[in-house]
Amino acid sequence: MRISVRQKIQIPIIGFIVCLSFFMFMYFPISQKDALEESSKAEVESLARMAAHGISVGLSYDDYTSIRRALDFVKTASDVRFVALVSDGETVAAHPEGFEFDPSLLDTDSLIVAKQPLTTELLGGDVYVGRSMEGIQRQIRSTVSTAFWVALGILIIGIVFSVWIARLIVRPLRLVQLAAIKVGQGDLTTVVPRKADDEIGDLADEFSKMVQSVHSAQHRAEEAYNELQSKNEVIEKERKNLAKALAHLKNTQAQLISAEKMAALGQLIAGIAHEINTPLGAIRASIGNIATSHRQILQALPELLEKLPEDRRNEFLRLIRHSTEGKQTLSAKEERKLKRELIGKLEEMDFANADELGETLADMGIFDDIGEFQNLLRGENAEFILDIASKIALQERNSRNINIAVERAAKIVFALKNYSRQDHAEEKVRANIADGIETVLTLYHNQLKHGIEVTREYEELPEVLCYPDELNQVWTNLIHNSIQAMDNKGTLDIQASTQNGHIVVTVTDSGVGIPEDIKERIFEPFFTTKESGEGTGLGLDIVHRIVEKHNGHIDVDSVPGRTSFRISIPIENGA
Amino acid sequence: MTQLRYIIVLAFLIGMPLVGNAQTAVIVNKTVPQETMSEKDILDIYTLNRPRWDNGTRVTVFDLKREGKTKKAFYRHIEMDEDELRRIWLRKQFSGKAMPPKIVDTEEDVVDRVANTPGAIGYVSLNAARKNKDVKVVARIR
Repeated sequence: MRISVRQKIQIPIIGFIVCLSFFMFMYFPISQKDALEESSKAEVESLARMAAHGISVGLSYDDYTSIRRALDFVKTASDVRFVALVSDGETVAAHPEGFEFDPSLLDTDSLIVAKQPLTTELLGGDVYVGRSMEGIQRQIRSTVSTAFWVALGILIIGIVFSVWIARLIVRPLRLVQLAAIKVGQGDLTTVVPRKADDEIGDLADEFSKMVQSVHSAQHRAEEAYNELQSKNEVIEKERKNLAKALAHLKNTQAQLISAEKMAALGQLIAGIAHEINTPLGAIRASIGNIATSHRQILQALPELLEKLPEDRRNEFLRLIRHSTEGKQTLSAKEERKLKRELIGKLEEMDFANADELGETLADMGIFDDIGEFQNLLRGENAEFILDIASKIALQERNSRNINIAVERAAKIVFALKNYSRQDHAEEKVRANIADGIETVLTLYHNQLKHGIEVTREYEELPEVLCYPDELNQVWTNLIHNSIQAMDNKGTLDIQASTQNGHIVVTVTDSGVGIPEDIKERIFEPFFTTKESGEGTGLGLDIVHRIVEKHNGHIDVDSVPGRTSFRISIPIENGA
Repeated sequence: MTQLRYIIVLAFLIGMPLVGNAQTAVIVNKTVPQETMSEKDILDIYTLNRPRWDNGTRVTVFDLKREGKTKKAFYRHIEMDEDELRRIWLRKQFSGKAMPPKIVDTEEDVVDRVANTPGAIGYVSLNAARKNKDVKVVARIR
C-alpha cells in the first residue's frame, strides 16, 4: 500500500490529536467525578459535624440561637435534602418538617449521607445530613460537555493544523516532483522556484543545480558516447579477432588431445607391432624348417623305402606319432634333466651311441617308452631311419608352432578390433567394463610381460551404459602412466567392483608416486612431469573429461610405492 | 391626674393579695397588643407555634435558666415538662419556622430584656415585674 508524504505527516498528527481528544473526553470527566464525589462527601461530613456541634453546644448552654444558626447554615448548603436528628431509631427532629429518617437512605445512590454522633444531657443520637448527587451530576454533565467541546475543538484545530502542515511540506515537494517529471520527459531547462528557506528550499535549489549539471553532463555524455561508439567498433573488431584466435586455440587443443591419443596409440602400436612380429618370426622360421626338412625327406624317400624293412614300418610310424603327440612345452632345465635320464636309460639298454641317440630322441620330444622302439633303434640303418623320422616330426612340431603363433597374433588383432569397435560412437551402449580393461591389458601385454606382475580382482559386473572406446582410452592412459611410473618394473593391481550403484575400478601401481605439491594439478591440461616431447600433459585431462562425461568420479591416493587411481562410474549414468 | 391615681390604687388593690404568695407573672414588651393571655395562649407562644403577634411584631420568647419557684410555677401552669419543651424547641429550630427562644440567667435580666425587646415575652416573679414600667403583665400564676 502506497502512503503519501501528506498522509505520513497527517496520520500521526491526527492520530495523536484523536488520542488526546479521546483522553480529554474520557479521562477528565471520570477523574472529575471521583474528585467531586470525594469532596462532596467530605463537605457533607463537615456539614453533619457542624450541625451536630451546633446542636450539642446549643443544648448544653441553652443557646437555641446557635442551634438555629448552625442548622440554617447546613440547610442552606447547596443540594442538602435533609438534616435529621435520630435518637434510638426515631427521628427526633428533622428538616424538612415531617421527614422521617430511614437507614435505607444510607445506601441510596442519588444521595450522599453523612452521620455524626451527638451526646448531650437532654438527648443522645446521631445527626444525619443528606445531600443529593444532583449538583455533582450537574457538574459532571457540565464537565463532560466542556470536555466534549474542548476535545472537539482540539480535534478540529489539530486536523486543520495537520492539513496545513502537510500542505506546507507537500506543496513545495510537489513543485520539485513536477519539475522532476518535466526533467524525466527530457526538459533539462527546468528550474524549481525556491519557495521557502528550509530543507525543501535547499532541495529545490539542489534539484535545479542537479538538472543543470545533468544538462551539461548530457552534452559530455553525448560526446563520450560518440567516442565510445568509435571505440566500440575497434573493440568489436578486436573481439572478432579474439574469437577467431579462440576458435583456433580450441581447434589446436582438440588437435593436441587427438595428438595425445595418437601418441598413446603410437606407443601401443609399437608394442603391438612387436607383439605381432614375434609370432610372425616364429612362423617364418617354422616355415623355413618345414621347407628344408621337406626337401631332405623327399630326397631320402627312395632310400628310406629301400632301407626300412616292412616289419619295421609300423614301428617307424608309431615313433613319429609318439614324437608329435603334443607334450607340454618344457623349460630348458626340465628338458636337460629329462635328456640325462633318457641317455641313462639308453646306456642301461646297451646302446653304443647312447649320447647321440639320446640327443636325437630328445630333439624329437621322446623321453620315455623307448623300449617300444628297440628293434627299430637297434636295427640296420637305424641312424638314417631315425634321422628321417626326426625330420618328419620336426615338420609336425613346426606346424604346431605356426598354429600357436597364428593364434597369438589373432588374439592381438581381436584385442585391437575390440579397442575401437565403434568408430566415434555418438550413443552410449551397454558394455562390460572388465572386457575393456582386459582388451587394454592384452594390447599392453608386450610392455607388461617383462618385469611387471599384473593382478586382477574382478567381481561379477553388470553391463554399464557407456562409451566403451572412451573408457578404453581411460584404462589405456591409466595403465600407460602406471607403467611409466614404475619404470617397467613392479606390480600393477586392477580391481573392479560394484559399490552403491557404481562400478568402481581401482588401478594401483607400485611406482614412485605423485608428489604432494603437484597432486592438485595432475588433472590440469598440459600439466606434465615428463620430459619435453615425451607427453603432452593431456593424458589425465582426457581421463578426467571422459569420467565426467559418464557422470563419474575420480580419486587419487598416492604415496611412494603405492599409487591408486579410483574411478567410479554410475551403472545407470544418464540413460 | 385623678384618673392615673385611680388606676394605681386599683392595680395596687388587685396586686396586694398576690404579693404575699410570691406570684409568678407572665410579662410582655409594651409593644405587644395583647393585655391578657390565657393558659392556652401562653402554651402556644412557648411551644413556638405562634411566631407573630396580632400587629405583626415577631414573638421573642425568654426562659429562665435556673431552677426556682417561679420557673416551676410557670411550667406547672402550662402543664409542660422542661425537657419536653426543649425537644419541641429543638424540633422547631430544625423546621426553622420560629425564632429561637432566649434563655437568660436571672429574673432581672428577663425583665430588662423583655422591656427592651419589642414583641418579647417572659415570666418572672410579680415583684420583679413591678420594678420595670416598660413591661406588661398579661397573666398571673398562683
